[in-house]
Amino acid sequence: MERTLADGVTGNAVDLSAALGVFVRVFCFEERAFLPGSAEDFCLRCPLACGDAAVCDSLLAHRFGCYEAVRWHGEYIYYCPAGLIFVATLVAQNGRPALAFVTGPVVMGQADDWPEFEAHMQEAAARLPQRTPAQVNAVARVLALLAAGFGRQAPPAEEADSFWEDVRGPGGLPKGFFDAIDVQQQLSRMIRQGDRGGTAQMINQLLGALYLGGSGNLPKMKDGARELLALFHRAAKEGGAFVDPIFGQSSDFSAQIAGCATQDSLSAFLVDMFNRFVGYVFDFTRFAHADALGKAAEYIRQNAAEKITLAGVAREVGFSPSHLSAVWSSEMRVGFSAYVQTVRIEKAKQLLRKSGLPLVQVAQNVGFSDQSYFTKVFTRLCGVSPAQYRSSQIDQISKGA
Amino acid sequence: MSTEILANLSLAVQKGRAKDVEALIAQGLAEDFTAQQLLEDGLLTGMNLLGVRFKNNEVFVPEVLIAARALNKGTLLLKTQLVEEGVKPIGTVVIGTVQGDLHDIGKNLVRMMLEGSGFQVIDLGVDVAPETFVEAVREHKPQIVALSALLTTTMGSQRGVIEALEGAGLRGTVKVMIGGAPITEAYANEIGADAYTADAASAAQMAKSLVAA
Ligand code: B12
Repeated sequence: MERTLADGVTGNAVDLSAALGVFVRVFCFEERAFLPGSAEDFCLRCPLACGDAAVCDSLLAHRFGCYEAVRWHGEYIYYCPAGLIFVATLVAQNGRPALAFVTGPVVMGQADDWPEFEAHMQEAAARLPQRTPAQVNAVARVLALLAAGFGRQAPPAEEADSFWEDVRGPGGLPKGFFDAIDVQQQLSRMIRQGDRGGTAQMINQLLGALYLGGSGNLPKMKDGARELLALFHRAAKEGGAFVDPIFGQSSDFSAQIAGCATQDSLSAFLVDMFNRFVGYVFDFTRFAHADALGKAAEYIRQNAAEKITLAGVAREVGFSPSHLSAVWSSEMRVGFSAYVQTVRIEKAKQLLRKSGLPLVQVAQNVGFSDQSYFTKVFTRLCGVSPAQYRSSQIDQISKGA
Repeated sequence: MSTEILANLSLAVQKGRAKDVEALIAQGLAEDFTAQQLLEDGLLTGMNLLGVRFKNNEVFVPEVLIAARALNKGTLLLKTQLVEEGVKPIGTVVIGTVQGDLHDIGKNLVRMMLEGSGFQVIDLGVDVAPETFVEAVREHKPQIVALSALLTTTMGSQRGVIEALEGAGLRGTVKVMIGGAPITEAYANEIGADAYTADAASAAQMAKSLVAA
């Protein structure tokens, strides 16, 4: 990293923090860490986190956000495991991810809107900066503009290096070397068992075979690299890992390999791919789930008046319906439909308290076309009927006054 | 003279930045660091730190290769400072990394120190078969054969070379020196090598005393 870029970006982060009234830190892809000099560790001051690294590993959570920013054209808005909003904004250098602004935490929308927050958490969240979704989007756009200004210069022309011709092992790789089915099975087993160390070791063994099998020949190296990545793609799917963020359409990585003009750029590409592979398969799962579930909940809150299906929500968060369903049932205390109903009923309670809308209208505004069904669900969940609830609230208010 | 240069040199090796390594070496020499300091406290410290992360598979093979390239570029710049140039050859050494083993950084350092001590060095490269060592001994008639091995799985190839030399009736004509991270004095004795040393500088000393004897 050229010191000038890091210094420039860090200086900007300090100004941005002051201007936006939220923390802005600078993440460095090569160091896989935050650079010193920008805002302090926001997570240390997070009033929601319990300080338990098992729940909230701030570095991993934000590394995930930064990798997602790479994947989503330079900006990514995400939920941390505590349910707070962050924005990651990519700063590229020479066409490669170099740094990222990480901005947050803010509370999006109204904390008392969140059925999953307990009372003391709602109180704590209320002390954090609150922003509307429109404001968060605006911050993301402004940061993206600023970041784009840094990466303007064209990448330098690549020079081939004769060094690679000397890296040569005992014999070249036989064709189809990476098709070995037993290797794939062993890998998928390790992935399923969460064996991070074993998988990383396997990556190095196979990379060793690829490189030492004759890296002087770039076209052969590229063929080998394609086979190798295809092997990891298959093994990850077989091992039940969610790897769409890494491999995308399988033609994507093939095209990227084709675009590598030298062994140096191919090496940088492979190292990046395998770092992301290990990250997404073993480190980010928890954060990817927290983010997706946060977004799903947000979507459900915003669309409580409409018809909500699992497939529709899955599309919103970029998961397949079966993947969302599996993640939801393993990490949320209530089932999907029960959650949707809870959100609807919470909204209904607000409307009953704060508006004079007729019951039939309230029912419709929270997505029930049938008022009697609404009454039934409401009564089951709250122990009183909607009408009783409204009058008891009015009683309380008049008593209080 | 600030030790920041050494730390930066170590970082530049770990990140495989050959250009930075070259610039830092030039700067270090200008600031009166000794070549020995730049090598040991800069370049090799960096490679050792990377080695620990490599062992834990936190870094991947291409990164280590690129670091090795940067380190080799750095040592080339130090070559003239590291070695007092010898005038006329005091002997010939055939050197190589044994079969199945591709680690050449340590071997290159040993070669450099040997050259600096006045030896003519025939470098057979890496992954060298026992027969190739035998042929080279026949052809160049060296006083010393030096064998490098970095893997526990290739240490045995050093024994293989000694046996091949015996088989060809050439064992009596040369002294055999062995080295590499997993090698020990005891192992050298066990396989019947004539000498072992732990690093490149002592390897050159040892080679001198072997030809003097
Ligand atoms: C760089 C490196 C690589 C590079 C090599 C690049 C190159 N051009 O050399 C690459 C990436 C190719 C590589 C590949 C592999 N490596 Co590697 N590698 C290393 C690393 C990080 C540094 C080695 C080094 O250069 N050290 C610096 C030099 C200066 O030190 P040195 O070699 O020990 O040499 C000194 C002395 O030993 C002595 N000396 C050396 N030779 C001789 C000879 C004589 C005659 C004498 C007297 C003295 C002497 O003098 C030298 C100077 O002081 C080490 C870890 C480490 N810290 O040692 C692992 C290490 C050696 N590698 C290891 C492994 C496992 C591998 C692979 C199998 C990994 C894989 N999955 O593919 C492959 C094997 C490839 C093969 N067939 O050889 C293991 C070996 C484990 C073991 N006990 O067997 C190590 C120890 C890492 C680890 N802990 O896991 N590796």
